[in-house]
Amino acid sequence: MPDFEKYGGYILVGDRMRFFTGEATPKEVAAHPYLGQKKKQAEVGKHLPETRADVADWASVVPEPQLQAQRKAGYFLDLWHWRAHRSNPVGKSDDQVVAEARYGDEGKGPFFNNWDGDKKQPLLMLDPEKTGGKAALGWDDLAGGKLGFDDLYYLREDQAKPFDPKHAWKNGDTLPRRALRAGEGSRADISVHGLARWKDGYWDVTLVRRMDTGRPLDDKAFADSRVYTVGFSVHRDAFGSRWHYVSLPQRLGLSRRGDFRAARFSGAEPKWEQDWFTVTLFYPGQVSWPLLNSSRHAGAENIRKGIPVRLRHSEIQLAHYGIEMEFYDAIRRQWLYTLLAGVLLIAGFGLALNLLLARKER
Amino acid sequence: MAPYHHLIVHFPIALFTTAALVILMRAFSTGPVSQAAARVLTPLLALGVASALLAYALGLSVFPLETLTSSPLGRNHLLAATWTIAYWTLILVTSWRLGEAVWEGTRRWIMLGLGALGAGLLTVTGALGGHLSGSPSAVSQVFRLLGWEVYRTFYVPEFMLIALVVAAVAMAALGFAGRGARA
Repeated sequence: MPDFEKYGGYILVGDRMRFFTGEATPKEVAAHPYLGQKKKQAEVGKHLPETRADVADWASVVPEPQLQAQRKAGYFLDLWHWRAHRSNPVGKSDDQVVAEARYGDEGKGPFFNNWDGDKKQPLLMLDPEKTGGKAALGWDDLAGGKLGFDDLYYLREDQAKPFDPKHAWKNGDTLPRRALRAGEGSRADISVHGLARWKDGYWDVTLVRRMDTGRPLDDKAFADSRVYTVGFSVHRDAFGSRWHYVSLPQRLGLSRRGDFRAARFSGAEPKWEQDWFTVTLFYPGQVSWPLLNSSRHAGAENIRKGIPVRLRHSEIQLAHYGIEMEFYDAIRRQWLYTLLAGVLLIAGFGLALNLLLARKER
Repeated sequence: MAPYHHLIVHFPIALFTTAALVILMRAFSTGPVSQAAARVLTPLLALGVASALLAYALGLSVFPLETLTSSPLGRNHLLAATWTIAYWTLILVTSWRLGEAVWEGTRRWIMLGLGALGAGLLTVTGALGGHLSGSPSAVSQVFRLLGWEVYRTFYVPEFMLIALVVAAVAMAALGFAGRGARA
């Protein structure tokens, strides 16, 4: 994935992405013969540039045989998505893939929607026989942040039973929107090692996966002594979707030099004696790949030449640019007014100066 | 056009910097060397403004205006360049109209202030140009220490815009009023 190595996650941000200004509507996506009708996509999510005939048109998906050929050739990204609530309580990470869209790997993910659309009621409730008598969580406990890691703050499929509308529900009884499960197949390849915990303002999470899952259409296989490109992103403070912090691409060397290096270990877990490697994250804003390749981006020509983002931009620069992109029109207008006001001030000052100094001279 | 812009910007930078040094020297000295240097100030400034206008025009043709004004750095560079040219033009006109009289009495300190501010604007414009061309200097760190982040678009809020316009009109009015009183 040479483009990912150079530009990281920017290449995944296509035309009219979900939650962007001007995002494609669910109706438009549903009407798309491949993404909507065949793949049941409801929005335009992450996708790779070459899965489109025109990167500036989300709907221009290349023919299906070409998509299949791309996947077989390894033109996809492996996305490990650990979530504090939707996967951590079952010790799993969601295993996903990004190609012409963002999909879960084959199999079952670690969560599903706890909602029966036909009956318009939750699918599951807590099974009191397995939860010490609880049929639901308590709203006051959840909203008040009273629950700890050793408390029940989630709904697991193996601790649940079908929802009973005749149960003696009381005000404040709460059932999570997502029900958790161990997952199956390729989508359940990634597990949490030990216990992932929030402490002192940080999550301490270790994810494990086989070096080669044997699923070449879903996962990237790791081989010792190779160098891989990875990117990191973090959603903080319960924000979802594009309101996340991302890194520039990083080179991970497996017993090789890279931006950071992974070393072999023996035993159940590493001793964690290596030096820390700090990755700088930033908010990317509404900056898309079509925009970066358009006439609005002075560096579009550099992208065409294959010059990596790191050679032209720093994280702090991209952070500021990303935020300003959110207010593009307003900032541009105010900047222009400022420029003109400054010129007017200089002109007024110059006029006064010359008139007054000339007066003194006479 | 980028290589030509890079080529030409050396001239206004060199000419305005020399002009600032001449102003500094003449403000503190009445010696023959300072007086001789001050006599070439107006042509120096004229050449500076002319070459700056050429560099400005070439700079505008490096990228389409939409491209240049789409990034904070591009906007800041364009704003600083515009103000720099406007400001040094002001100094040129003042020097040309008043001649040797600008060094008399307190006027020399006014000239010193003008030169210092002009040099400052020139530094900002040059530093931002370096960023745009992919060669950022440590000068940006100084700006950051002074509270201005070069990667954020420089603009002022509405009330400041109004204040700037009012100040411009007031200064012009003051000038005319002063001339009228004298007449």
